[in-house]
Amino acid sequence: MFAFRQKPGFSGNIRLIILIIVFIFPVFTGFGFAGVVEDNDKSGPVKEEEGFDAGKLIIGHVLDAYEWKIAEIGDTYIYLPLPVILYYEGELHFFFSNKIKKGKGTYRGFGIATEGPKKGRLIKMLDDGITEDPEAGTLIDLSITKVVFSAFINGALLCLIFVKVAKAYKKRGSRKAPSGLQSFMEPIIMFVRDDIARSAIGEKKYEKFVPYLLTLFFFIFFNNLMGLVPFFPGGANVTGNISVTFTLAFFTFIATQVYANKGHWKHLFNTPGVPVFLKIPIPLMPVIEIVGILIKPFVLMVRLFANITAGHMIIKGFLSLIFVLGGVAAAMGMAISPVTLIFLIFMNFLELLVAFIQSYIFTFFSAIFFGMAVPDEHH
Amino acid sequence: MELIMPGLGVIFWMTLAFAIVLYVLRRFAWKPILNTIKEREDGIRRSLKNAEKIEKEITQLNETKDRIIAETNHEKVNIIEQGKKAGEEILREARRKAEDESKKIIEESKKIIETERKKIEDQIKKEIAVLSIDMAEKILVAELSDKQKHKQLVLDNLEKVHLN
Repeated sequence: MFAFRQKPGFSGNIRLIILIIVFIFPVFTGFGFAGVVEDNDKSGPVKEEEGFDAGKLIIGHVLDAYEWKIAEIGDTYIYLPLPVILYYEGELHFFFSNKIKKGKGTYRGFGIATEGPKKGRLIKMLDDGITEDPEAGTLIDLSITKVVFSAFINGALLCLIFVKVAKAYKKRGSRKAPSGLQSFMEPIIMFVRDDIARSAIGEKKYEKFVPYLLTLFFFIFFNNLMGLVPFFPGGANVTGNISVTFTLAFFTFIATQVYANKGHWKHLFNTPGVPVFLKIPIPLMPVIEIVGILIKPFVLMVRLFANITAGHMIIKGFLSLIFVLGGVAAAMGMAISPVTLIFLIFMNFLELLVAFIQSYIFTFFSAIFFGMAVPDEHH
Repeated sequence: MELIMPGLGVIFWMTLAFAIVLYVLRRFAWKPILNTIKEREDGIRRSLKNAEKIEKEITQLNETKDRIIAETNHEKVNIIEQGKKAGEEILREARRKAEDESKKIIEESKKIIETERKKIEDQIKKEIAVLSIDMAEKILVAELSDKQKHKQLVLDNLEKVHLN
């Protein structure tokens, strides 16, 4: 999929940027690889005892986290501590996530809940480090979590790549054929413009939506792809996070309402071609229509979330098969691994396809909603 | 539950991140890219239209060329024909003139011959007259001597004189 020709300078640049992100960023945050922990204490609550738990691993992977686990070699746990930002009772708390660890007490009275409806989230705790403070006020959690941090990296890379492509366009002008990365991106850009924006919105009005749709498409696509990279800085389940898909769907929803024309509002409150008794005295049609415009982005949100999360779960599930069977008998783990490998490769290819299809679907439906929001005058 | 409950923090940061990405890409990437693509498409469309026009012009030119060649051919044939005709005409004319001229010359020569003959005849007549007178004189002289001799003389003289 990425076997495109590129100038040697470009790939060098990208490599350099990735290196900077991986090695320099933690230094900037004042930690370096302080996230390396020697966990010699075998009685730790997270470790061993009950053996390998596939379910825990899978769920732990698809969920968001306050730290970014990079690797676990023996007892050495390598992770990237991420900033925790909390607003609690008029006070702003800022610290790094290596201060708090699941089930390992509290820091400034905050800890990660291990059960209940707020499981996995930071809460104000009592001193025992387990139960939530019953008198706790509202806690606003603005932490840069794994998903957020990953989205930042991917977004920055995305900007970099496309500013680079734009420079190629500026340099080569309209009289020269595209080359390198530019020629790799052009068909996708043309696909979004012609087959998504133009076909769904219509010849006359599609142009002003193209930049948004392009951004949406590439943002989702790039995050999907990065989610398939099995090691840092990839592998975060960004587009499989409900908050992320909510945000993207919300953007589409807001854009739909902002760009909607008179026809859209008329259709909403005074649907043409519907008997009057459905509008007055009980505004049945308006209610249905309003529910309709809310359901549209909701479906977008759920579809992307479910597809990407499911993909991550399946891949992790196949991977876990080796260790589950290996836990029963080492030979069984060995025996199943080639089969699992084949399945994993197959699933990864499938997920590449899904990564494209889901970003296409999200963008295409957004375009359709825009097209419905700007109906022609005669409609 | 954790899986399907949106969190405020992530939503906040994602809104920020997506808005920034949207702004940056819109301003620094999509604008130049889409403009260039559009420019290129317009250029291609223009070039195609131009090519069509040029093709039409070429066809027209070809037609004109063919027509001119045909006309020229026709002209050539005409000119050759005319040349042939003119040549024949000239030849005929020349022949006729030559005939006329020769006729005239013959006529004139005839006339000249006639006058010459007349002149000669006159001359001869005059000669004959002189001769006759001479003879008469001689006869007269001889008459005076002998009749026989006279006769002989006349005969002799007559024999001498040939009318040529």
